[in-house]
Amino acid sequence: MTPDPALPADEDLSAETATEGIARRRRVFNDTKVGLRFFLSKRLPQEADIDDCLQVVFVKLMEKGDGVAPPALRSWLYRVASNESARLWRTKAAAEKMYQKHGGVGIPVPDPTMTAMQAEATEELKKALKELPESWQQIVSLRIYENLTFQQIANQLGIPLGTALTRMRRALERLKNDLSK
Amino acid sequence: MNKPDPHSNEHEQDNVNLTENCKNQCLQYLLDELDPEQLAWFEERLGKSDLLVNELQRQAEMIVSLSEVSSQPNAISGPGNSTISPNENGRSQKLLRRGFGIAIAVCAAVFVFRTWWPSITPPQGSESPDNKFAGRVIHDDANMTQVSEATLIARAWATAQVDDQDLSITPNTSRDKTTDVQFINTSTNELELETVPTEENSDDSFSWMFTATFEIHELETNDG
Repeated sequence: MTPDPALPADEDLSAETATEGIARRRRVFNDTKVGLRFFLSKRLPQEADIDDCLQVVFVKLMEKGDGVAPPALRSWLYRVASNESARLWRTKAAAEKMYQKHGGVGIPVPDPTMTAMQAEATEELKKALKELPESWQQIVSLRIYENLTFQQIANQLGIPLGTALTRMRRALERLKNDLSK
Repeated sequence: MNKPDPHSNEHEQDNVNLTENCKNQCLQYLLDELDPEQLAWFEERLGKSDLLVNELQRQAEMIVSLSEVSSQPNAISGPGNSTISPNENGRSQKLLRRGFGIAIAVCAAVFVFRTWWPSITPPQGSESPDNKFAGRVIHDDANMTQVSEATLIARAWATAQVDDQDLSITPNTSRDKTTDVQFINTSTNELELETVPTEENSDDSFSWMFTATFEIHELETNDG
């Protein structure tokens, strides 16, 4: 779970082969599956829908997980699960409406504005990140970009573990608030 | 009677508000830093608390967004960095290397083909060494516009060789052979050669080489 402090995390992962990458993603999925199931059970009442959703999450992990930064992989799984559960709801609702209206199923059309919106959100996030207190920026940078554990960060900065965790969490909350303004 | 749940107080508290500790655990969970005991307990609570699920989702969203910003290095690192991610860079280098390799392989294949193909192509109607040579001469005549002096000399010499050997051919040889030999005798006329229009004229130097190669081959074959 904890990376070897002697080895910088990025260097370790850059040497990872495709097979090792797949094995790592599979391992993360297996470690997260129980949590994902509990998470989805709060959103999808039917067990079959949860299973479907988990399958989609796994497929997406294998297809696109390669491009996700390793520290964010578990968070990414939860985001995909959340999006998939929402999509499942929408599809069901749309299908019901479609059946009621026309007696057929419509094909979902991808939204072309989505990419532009994502790019805009990323730009806003960059700005918001720069406006954070430096001590918070430092924690975010070390945890997300340098892939150090909170314990390693606490040791490096000479602060308690709880402080490192709280700074990170507050940074996330501030960013969330700034983006939703 | 059921045993009281040791976390029941905290669970009840979840429905009112999440504790700081709980939110921190959420963060640790998403970043894979909870030990197995805490992990099992946390996941169990995840199935019971809507607040915890919402908090987890919020934090997960932000962590993923931040990690996506990290793939665009201008966010935190200096301006001198490349905007291409290591994965993309590696892929483009691989493609470039592969393309370069294919180009070299194609060049090598073309060179080998041009060099060796004429020497291994069986001449038209060839059965004996004489006819092989005759076939070559006929083929070359049909495809040549401006023949160099060296080639003409080689041809004349080669034709003389064929003529000499032609004398030894009996009148009862096959009809094809006779036709070939007769055609050679007429086609090697220099006046005719100069007036025959063809498309290819860049293989002049090759013609001499082929003629000479065949001649050497002939000599070796005849010697035994």
